[in-house]
Amino acid sequence: MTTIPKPQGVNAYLTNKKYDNILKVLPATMERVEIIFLQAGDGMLKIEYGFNERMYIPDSMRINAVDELLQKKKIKGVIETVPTLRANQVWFDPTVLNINKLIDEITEIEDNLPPVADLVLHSRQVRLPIAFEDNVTKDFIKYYVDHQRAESPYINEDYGNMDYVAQYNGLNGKQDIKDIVLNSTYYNSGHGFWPGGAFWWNMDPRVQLYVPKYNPPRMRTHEGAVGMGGPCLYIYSTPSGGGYQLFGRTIPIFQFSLKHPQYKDYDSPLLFRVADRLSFYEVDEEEILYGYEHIHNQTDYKYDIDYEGEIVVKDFIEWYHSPQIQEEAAAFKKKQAEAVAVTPKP
Amino acid sequence: MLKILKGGIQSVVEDWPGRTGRLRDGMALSGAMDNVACQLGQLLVGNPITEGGIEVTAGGFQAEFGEDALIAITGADLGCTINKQEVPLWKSFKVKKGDVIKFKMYKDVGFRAYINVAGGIDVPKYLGSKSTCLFGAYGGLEGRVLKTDDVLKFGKPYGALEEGKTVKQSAMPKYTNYWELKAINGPNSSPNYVTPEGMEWLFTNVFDVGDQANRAGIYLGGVDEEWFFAARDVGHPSNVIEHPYNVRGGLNVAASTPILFPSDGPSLGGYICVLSVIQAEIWMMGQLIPGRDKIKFIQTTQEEANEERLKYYKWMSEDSIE
Repeated sequence: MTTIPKPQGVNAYLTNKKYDNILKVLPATMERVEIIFLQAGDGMLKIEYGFNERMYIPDSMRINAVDELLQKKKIKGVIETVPTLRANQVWFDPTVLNINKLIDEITEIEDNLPPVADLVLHSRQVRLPIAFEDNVTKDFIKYYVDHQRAESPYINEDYGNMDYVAQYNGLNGKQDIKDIVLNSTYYNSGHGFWPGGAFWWNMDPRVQLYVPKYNPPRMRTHEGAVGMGGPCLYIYSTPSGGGYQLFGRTIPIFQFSLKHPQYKDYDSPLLFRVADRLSFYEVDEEEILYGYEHIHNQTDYKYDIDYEGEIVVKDFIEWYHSPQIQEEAAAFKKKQAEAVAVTPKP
Repeated sequence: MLKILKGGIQSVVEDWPGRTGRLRDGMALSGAMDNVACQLGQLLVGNPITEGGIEVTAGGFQAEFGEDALIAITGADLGCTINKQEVPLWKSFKVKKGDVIKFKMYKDVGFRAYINVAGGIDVPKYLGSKSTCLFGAYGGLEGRVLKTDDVLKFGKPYGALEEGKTVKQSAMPKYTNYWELKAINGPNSSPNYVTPEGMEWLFTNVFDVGDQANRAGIYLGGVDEEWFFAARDVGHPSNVIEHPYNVRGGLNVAASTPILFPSDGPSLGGYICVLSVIQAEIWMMGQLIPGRDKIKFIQTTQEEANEERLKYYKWMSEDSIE
């Protein structure tokens, strides 16, 4: 990359105002962090929760509850919304709906929202097989090494990313990462990026891994790749680009053709639903390949899904904030921070 | 119907506004890369502006008509001929069964052309749209690019077939190699993500359109990490906790790479988005020639964007046709 000259004589004060895109802030309450309304385009409003970035699953539950009420209002000019872990975004037509009117409507919902702790969420439990550092995953990482970036701190000589994830989190090695992935339950805050992809968050703050993404992102990732970026776990639903550190591969989670009954019976190409919980069990590579054949072609694969589960949010919040959990989470974070300080950045 | 002889570089069925309402499922909006050329094209052949046509990227597409039809070619001049005779762009005309349409290659300006047919292209709508999403492999014709021996049927014309309709000179979009795209702040333009110098640079720099510029992302060189990002306590200052992307038209900064998100841009991700091309001008992204054109972002306001949007709505109407 050539050197880019820095613009000279920029008046910091003026430009701060010039590039300020905060439209309104609702102060924090006992129930929630502050809410920041941001300009995100000429027909886009972003609603962000908290000035400080945090990974706190009840934020997502709140955002989804507000989103549901917003949908019900059927406000003229609103096109669609994209709720995520700590933000929602409304796409609207500003020639039909004034952005301040939209902010008022959302504020009204927020002001009258019952406590999130009162929610009991229907939450299915999905169990998926995973093959760690399988050959297909290695091939795609090798492609990146050969075509995009030869030397990087996050890829080892065996075309794996797990050593880096371990190093970045102050853990001993990839076995520690495997143990965490296999013993954790992940929560789905919503879908995005590419079709059917769900964003999964570890429900246990004591093993909350964090890892920066590829630099530059991969141009190619394979279907079913399981990876992590920041604190988030993701399964690539279709072949696509992407920047997450890869652990291995699981079976298909998206099927446009709706051939397999798991998709056909629900008339949806998506395997996951918002508020689902996910866990993994380890298998060898052949079993994953068997999954592709028997989901996409023979359509007789049986997914492991328990449909009946629920999350009592009050219980989750109480457990999460209990002194022992918080103490252990803080200890994990401290060790993590020490490791981050001495680990090379992407 | 139309029998495809050669698919060319990349030819797909697209409509407008694409597949809305499914961003929350991770399904890209898709839709025509140059919605202005697509929509004006629909008007020329008497279709509603939401109908679908064939988006021909770069050139090389060849096909034979299996029936008489009224068509119009809009967008970039890719050297379109019918039976080896050059045809006018932005004008409706009749073709006969057996006529062969061919596209050569892109020239000095513009990168995508649209074949618009009275009645539209008769592919099944998937989730409300005929648009192809190549990454998801759905929509359009079997979710893929057109190739040799494909057959596309036409829909029933919406009205009388009128030859010789043209786009008024005043309504013709202007193509260039140097594009100025009006853009608005957000969502991550504030000084806690990007330094004021960084934002100033975004709105003054002339960007080279990268060789990698497709329906999902247009790569625009690199940023200088030394001074572009505000310091934040994260693994990389371009990283944020996964948030919604402002598609279509958002400028994403993935590590040190700025990527403009057009039709198939992702709905969500973990890199910052620093500005947003206004909706009235996102069509320009469809005519950028990879590795050749240059673009500059011009900062604008919500008020100005609204005015431009109202002009755009009027532009995509019979007012532009004579």
